[in-house]
Amino acid sequence: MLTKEIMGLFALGILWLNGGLVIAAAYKQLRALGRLRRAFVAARERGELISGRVVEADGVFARRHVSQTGRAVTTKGPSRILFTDGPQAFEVRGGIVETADGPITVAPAPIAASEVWPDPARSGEALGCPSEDAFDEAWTDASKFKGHAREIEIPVREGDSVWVHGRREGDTLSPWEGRPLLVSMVDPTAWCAGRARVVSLFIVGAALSLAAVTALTLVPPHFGLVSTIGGGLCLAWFLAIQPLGTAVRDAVKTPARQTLGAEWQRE
Amino acid sequence: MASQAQPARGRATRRGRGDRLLHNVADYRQIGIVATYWAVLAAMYFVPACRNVFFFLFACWLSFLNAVVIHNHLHKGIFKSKRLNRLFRGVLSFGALYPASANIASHNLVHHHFDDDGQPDWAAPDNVDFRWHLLNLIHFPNVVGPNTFNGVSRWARTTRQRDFRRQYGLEQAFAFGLTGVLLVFDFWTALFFVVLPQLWGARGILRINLIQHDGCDVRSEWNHSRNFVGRAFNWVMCNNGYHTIHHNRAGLHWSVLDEVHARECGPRTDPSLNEPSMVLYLLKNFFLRFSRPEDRDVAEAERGQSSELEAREVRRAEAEAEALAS
Repeated sequence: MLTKEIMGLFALGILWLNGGLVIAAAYKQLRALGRLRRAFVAARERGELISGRVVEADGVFARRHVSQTGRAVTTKGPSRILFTDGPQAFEVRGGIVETADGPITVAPAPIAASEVWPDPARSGEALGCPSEDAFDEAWTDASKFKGHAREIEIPVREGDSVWVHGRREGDTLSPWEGRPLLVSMVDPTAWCAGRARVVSLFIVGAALSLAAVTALTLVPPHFGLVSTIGGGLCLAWFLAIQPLGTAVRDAVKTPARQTLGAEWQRE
Repeated sequence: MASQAQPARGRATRRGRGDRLLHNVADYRQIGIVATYWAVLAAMYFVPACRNVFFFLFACWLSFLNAVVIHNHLHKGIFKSKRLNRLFRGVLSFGALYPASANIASHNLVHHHFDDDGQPDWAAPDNVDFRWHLLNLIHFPNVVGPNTFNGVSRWARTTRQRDFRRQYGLEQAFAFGLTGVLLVFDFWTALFFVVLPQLWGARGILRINLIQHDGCDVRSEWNHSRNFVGRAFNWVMCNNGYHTIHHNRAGLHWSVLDEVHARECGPRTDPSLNEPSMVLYLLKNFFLRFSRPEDRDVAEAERGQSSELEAREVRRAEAEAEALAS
């Protein structure tokens, strides 16, 4: 006979095992962020992470390229096109960055050895709907099975503030063997620290809330009203922690790996 | 080019016969699985004497099979009546505690594409990366489940299949509504003896994605999947062990997959991807070792072999059309 007590312990075991794994996965992300941040800090000391303003570039200094497919939204409401990301690529074309210590030449890097972290504002500019005509043009294809294909270019241009992380040779930065040359429009060290705070908050919040709902479930009399409310909250916690865990995972992806998406709406 | 596929698809074999109700009489096995599952859940909920280890484990196993039936039914509706197919989706949704129609987007349209179109498979094995592989097996649904529901919700906003959202909503209402009613009337019994089996099946079918594709080469034509070829296993699992041929010819009825697997996969599939037993595979790869098995070039077996397959997009378009029509 499987009594309520046996099944209760079994269910709590499942809850803690899976909750523990979600928290452990977040902790792995936290450690990865810590490693990345330490690498950036060390690189800054070695002069391999520099910051400054792009003063010379042949058109575009660097770019993130994303292929997107737009599909007409078929729910009620105004006409909208929902874009999803396809393949993406990065390219550092190079140029000169003026830093506090003088100009640094950033060598062009092949696509496979480039990585670009645009800032949200620049990405937003590239993703928005430029005009009503553009919407109408896209709408025709977006309403068909294959959808509307578009190529997004998010450029880093002359005049932009950037951080560049690469192999230093004299006054030149270039990609390492097997590691890309990074051009970022956000301070990568600060970005890592900010995201680490988000993950830390999640880990602490998840652990405390798991302990709280478990404690409520174990309030005597077991399986009484308070305990049953605790059981309901345990079930809700189990169902909620999974999407929250993946939301945190997505939030701490580097700006190069962030999904762009986009939604256009006819004015 | 698809000459080998045609006979199996159109052939009136013993296993391919239909009757007034079903396209294929073999599907009575699937209806039997679902009916038995409901009976076991009802027995545990209403009869205290049935709340024992045997019934509980049996319910968990049947719940997994219920999810297998969802998979098969959403590829090819089992009833001749479209209305009955829709009703059956509702019944299946309660058993798995998720709307069965989610499979159209998550499985038929996305998983069968792998990442060919540059968009990730929501259930790709690389969603988990613990060093101890058993933890990956346990944790996999915690990640892939939300990926799937986010993706389905996004897809549902743009689908041109106008009645999808209505059907999806009805399935949600029935699955969550009936489960909610059971919880309200007897919370703990429903939680332990209905919800736990439901979740076991739903999470188990997600884990199958890891089991059947981890260490495989999804870019290849004949080595993208792991097969479990035991006869008894496949009888119970409605031939869902033959995963390579299912991906390559998604329109085939499950009852002929063993024949077509034997005929077509043969030398093109690396022998290591034809496992005799899932239990042994799980023991060997998840329970008796700590590290994740190293990837190897499993696609070597198909190089130099003629493919005789239509292009992937053509095959998928056929399978999608079939799923959406039923």
